[in-house]
Amino acid sequence: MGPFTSVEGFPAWLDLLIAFLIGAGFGFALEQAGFSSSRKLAGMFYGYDTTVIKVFFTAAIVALVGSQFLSYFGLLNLNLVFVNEYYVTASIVGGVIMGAGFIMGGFCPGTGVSALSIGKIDALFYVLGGLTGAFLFAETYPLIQPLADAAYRGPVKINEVLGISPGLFAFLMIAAAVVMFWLAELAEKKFARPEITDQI
Amino acid sequence: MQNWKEYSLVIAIVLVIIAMVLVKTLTSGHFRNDAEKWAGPSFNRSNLITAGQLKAFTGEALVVDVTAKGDFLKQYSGAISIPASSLLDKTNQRKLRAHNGSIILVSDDPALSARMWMLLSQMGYTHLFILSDSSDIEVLNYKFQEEGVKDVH
Amino acid sequence: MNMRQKISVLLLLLGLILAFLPISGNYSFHGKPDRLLSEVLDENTYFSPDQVARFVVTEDSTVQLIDLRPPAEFNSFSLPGSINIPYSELLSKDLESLLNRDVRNIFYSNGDLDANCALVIATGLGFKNNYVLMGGLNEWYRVVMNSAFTGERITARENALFETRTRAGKLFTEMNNMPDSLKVKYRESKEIERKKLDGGCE
Repeated sequence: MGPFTSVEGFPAWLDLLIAFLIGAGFGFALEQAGFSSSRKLAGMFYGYDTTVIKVFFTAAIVALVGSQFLSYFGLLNLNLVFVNEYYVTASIVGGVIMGAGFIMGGFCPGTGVSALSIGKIDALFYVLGGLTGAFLFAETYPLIQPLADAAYRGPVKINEVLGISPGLFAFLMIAAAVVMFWLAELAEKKFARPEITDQI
Repeated sequence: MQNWKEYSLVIAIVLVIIAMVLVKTLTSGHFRNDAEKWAGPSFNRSNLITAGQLKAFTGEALVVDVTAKGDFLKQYSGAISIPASSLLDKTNQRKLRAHNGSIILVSDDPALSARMWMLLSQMGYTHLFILSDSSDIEVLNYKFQEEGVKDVH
Repeated sequence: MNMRQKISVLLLLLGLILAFLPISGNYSFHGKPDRLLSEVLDENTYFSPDQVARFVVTEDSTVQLIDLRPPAEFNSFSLPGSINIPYSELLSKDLESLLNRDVRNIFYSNGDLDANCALVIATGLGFKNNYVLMGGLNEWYRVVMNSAFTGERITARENALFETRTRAGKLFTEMNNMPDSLKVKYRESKEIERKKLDGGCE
């Protein structure tokens, strides 16, 4: 449990057990939010069901607030938290591919697995397709490396780029999220498709 | 939002958090934010002071001997002995914080002085110096040459 | 609706508190000063030039030498296998990938000052396994490069030390005599090796 300094020195098996339990909790949360239904997920793009954005942004801002407070009170060492490295081209290209895949398949990687676990056949093929894609990426990496490594910016954080404190950034993020939730509710009313939403 | 009672849980949580934050900010004896800022004087070596400079020092200087046995007490007038291992004791911290001028750390081991300097600096001490024999403390005394090594000093 | 509003309001208020907290996005020391004090007073955080000579000669991969001097000095010569993090830039680098790699970080500079300050910084930020080369490169030169024995007889232990020092000295001279282009290639290949040992997607 690395960055948590209040619980240092756990044996490896305990770390893995905690990871397992956290994963199980995540899967449970996905399923009970109804994310195993591809119609619910695709609803995010058509506007009639905006649960996806609400769940994921709520999770993000809770984690944001939690990690900043824990760090402030000395329980979490943010120096040790891994920050993803930013490759501009790869992010954009990957985002486009994933977005297209999401709406075509009706799943994203995590929800695909949770749908598979309740026995959906289309989820099975979706996950197999995902694994094939990852395998192809690894095999063709030497060819696409220039694309994958282009425009490297390092592990940047938004608050660094904007020159504001992490706390202020957290507040702005939360405000933006709340505005988005409100807009999402409006969209649900506007793009309502009761023939679908009544069934999922 | 007229039903304050409904929001009582929210308000309670927020007040608890505010209380914890206030307690944290008002206590001293912990590290300050922004390590780079508090490590600043060490980047341009402005935290070093030689014996000669110390003699010419006009301000209020407190010499602190961080060795275990206080070997340097006699050499400097008004010096106090705070062995490194008890540097963070409440009484010693009070002495250090109470002093209004510069604090100068002295010991026979430059490694120890350097470490104590960084530790104290990160706790918010300013005007903190290390007494060193020479001002070119990080200069290499040797020259690397093709055939081997030549002694420059 | 009510629950959603409550959660939104709660998070907004907490965010507001955060906005006023004096947190900076830069690295900050973590934990209690008492803990850091006992960690930096630990005698086991020093390596002698002889111990480092052994690491150099055996190309010990559980050890990472870190040169804290400016790039110009590092390029003219450095300890074999070391990476360069100029001390003044220490806190602007991505330290999680440089210092958190399950190897022992051995900091060195020309003397004692920068290396020990860097050790306190690394330990204070939460990274583990930090050490310094006692006396820095000045001591390395004095003990390893200029090693000689006087007297008629030497003990087996002294003989072993002398051998390690001579071999380390030779390696040092050879590696630092390489033309700059070869040096760059050598360092790049070491970098790739280092990343392979780390694993992960990079």
